[in-house]
Amino acid sequence: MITFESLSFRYPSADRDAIDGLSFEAAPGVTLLVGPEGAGTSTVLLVAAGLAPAETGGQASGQVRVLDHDPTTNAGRRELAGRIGYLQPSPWTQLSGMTFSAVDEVSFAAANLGWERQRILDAAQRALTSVDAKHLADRHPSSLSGGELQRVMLAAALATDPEVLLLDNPTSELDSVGTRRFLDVLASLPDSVTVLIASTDVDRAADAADRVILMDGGTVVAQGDASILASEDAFARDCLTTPALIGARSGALHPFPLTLTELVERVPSR
Amino acid sequence: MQNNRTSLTPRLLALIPLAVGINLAMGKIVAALAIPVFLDTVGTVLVAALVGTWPALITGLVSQVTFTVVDARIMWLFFLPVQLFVALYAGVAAQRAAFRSSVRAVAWGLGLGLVAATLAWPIALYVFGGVTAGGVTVVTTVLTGLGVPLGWSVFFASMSADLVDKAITFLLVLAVLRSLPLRMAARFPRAASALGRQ
Amino acid sequence: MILGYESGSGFLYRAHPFTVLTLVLATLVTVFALPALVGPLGVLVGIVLLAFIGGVSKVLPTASVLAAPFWFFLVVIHVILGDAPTRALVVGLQVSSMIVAFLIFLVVTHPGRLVDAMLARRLPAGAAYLLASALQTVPRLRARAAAIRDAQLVRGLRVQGVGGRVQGLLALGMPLVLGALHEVDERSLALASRGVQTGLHPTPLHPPSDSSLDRLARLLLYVFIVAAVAVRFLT
Repeated sequence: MITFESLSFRYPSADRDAIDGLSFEAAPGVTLLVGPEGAGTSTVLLVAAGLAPAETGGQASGQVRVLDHDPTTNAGRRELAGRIGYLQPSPWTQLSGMTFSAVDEVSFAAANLGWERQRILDAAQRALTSVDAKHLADRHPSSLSGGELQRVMLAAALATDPEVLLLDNPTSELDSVGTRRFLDVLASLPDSVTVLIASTDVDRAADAADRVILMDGGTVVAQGDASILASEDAFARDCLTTPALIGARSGALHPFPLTLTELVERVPSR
Repeated sequence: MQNNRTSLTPRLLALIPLAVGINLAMGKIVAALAIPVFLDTVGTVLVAALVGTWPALITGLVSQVTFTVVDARIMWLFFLPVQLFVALYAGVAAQRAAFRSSVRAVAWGLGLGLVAATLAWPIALYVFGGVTAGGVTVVTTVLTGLGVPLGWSVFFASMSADLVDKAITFLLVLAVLRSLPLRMAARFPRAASALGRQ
Repeated sequence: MILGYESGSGFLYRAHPFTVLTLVLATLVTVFALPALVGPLGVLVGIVLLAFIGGVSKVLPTASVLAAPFWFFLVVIHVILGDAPTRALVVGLQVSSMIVAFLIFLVVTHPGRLVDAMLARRLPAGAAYLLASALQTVPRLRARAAAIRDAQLVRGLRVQGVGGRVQGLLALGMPLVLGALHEVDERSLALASRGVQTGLHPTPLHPPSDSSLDRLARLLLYVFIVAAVAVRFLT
């Protein structure tokens, strides 16, 4: 469970708030954050992960609770250590650079938490298997392709069995097969896990999302189910699904069709 | 299982290896330009200017060890005191706004070259009989051939290399500090004082 | 040329990384502490024999290549131009011994194993991580430097005259340095989110075994070191 209440956050030296009086609640399940460039979706993840302002610098005000702890405080971050999995959009800079094989990279967080050795090795094997990357275990991380690396990093985020997963554009390096597998992984997570995804790939993420939050200018514009991705609000912010966009462009299909099936059904047949 | 010795922040754990990488990668660039310098302390001086003396000292230490391992030349390890001194000196230089102008930067760089060479030559002379890295040794050999006593040959050779090297190092760091994007500069508050803007 | 770890077998591979490191330390100290000429010569013979017995004689050709320029300049400076052939011989033997010992260490020690050994010995995690990370960052940035160099040269960068060279240096050096600094933010976020600063000591994933033979070998090497230093100061 993640709760934001009138939260504002400003990066150092920035002249406006990246998050501006944001309030929303993300229950267990998959919540999708979408918005145009600069909407603040990535920053929401950083705040929830306890990285902003602690690591980024800057100023936060308002309330944020993750699993009933405040990630903006030291005490809160201590309580949350290992219970949050966070994934950056670029898997290359996410690499620790401190390990010499994919399986050790997946084990990195658990090792840092001081877990017992056998427990770490088991968890890493499980996580690699769950993302279908067991065969990559002994490869050197720098020898992996972008897609392989993104899967390995997802395994790394999953390895500590987190109760909260914060994923920033997690499919940026994946092809369509990889993305489908990724969605399967999300679907196989226990129901108790809260997943927050910031994504520009609205088409595919829409399928997996239980809830969608549309953001702009650091605050919530609309929230609800996936049909938001076929709304006028989303249209104004370039966040429509492709079928909705086709519907919108072809004119007068109101409300826009959310899925391909809907689009086909509503296109007048000759 | 508490361990309080790990006082390095994630930011320093990210920055220092990159600074070490800069120290060791500059050689690839100077080789293309046929400039008789190493620029193997650019990262160390940069860390001193961006975050301070302690991180610079760690950068110097890790650099020299990494240099030794990557090039498989254990001889480099003997010059560790020079790297550490460079870090200390650069820390002081940054505090004294050495990067306020190019003239100032070159002057501080020449000063460092003078001291670094003074520190390096006894190591080169007494440990290695005056034989060290390629270019410097050639100068030593030529000077010795001209009848200059060995001690002075090694000294002049080190000096000629280090003066130019450290002056260019400081100029390059100055150029980097000046072109830091505002957002990045805000994350390295010390950069402003190194540039003399505070 | 063998400049780093190569898989293999033999007791030097099975030895704890700190044992081999102590061997390097012992070589470093004793070549200078033991009386010349016999001391450095004995150490070199010993370390070369060890390379053969330990099945890592493959380091010897590389060691020769690394030592050759030293010998060349030592002979030119001290024998042809000077008149200190003994000094040339002593320094040459000292440097050669160190080169062989260090190459043995590099060839048998996988960096990951060294890092795990450091963590298992509860040395500061920051030290182990910085070493591991620096070792992997260097080839990456060297490759990038080469790419920047090639790109700028293709685009017609002039490298003539002193001014041109300094200009060229800025054109090549700045992108490398600024690019590296650009990574710092994202990398530090990644490390922080992965628990590098929880105040806990990381678990070594594959701690190397430290046998009683290892401990005995290290003890003997320490005794050798202390004895050599004692010889130096007492005679």
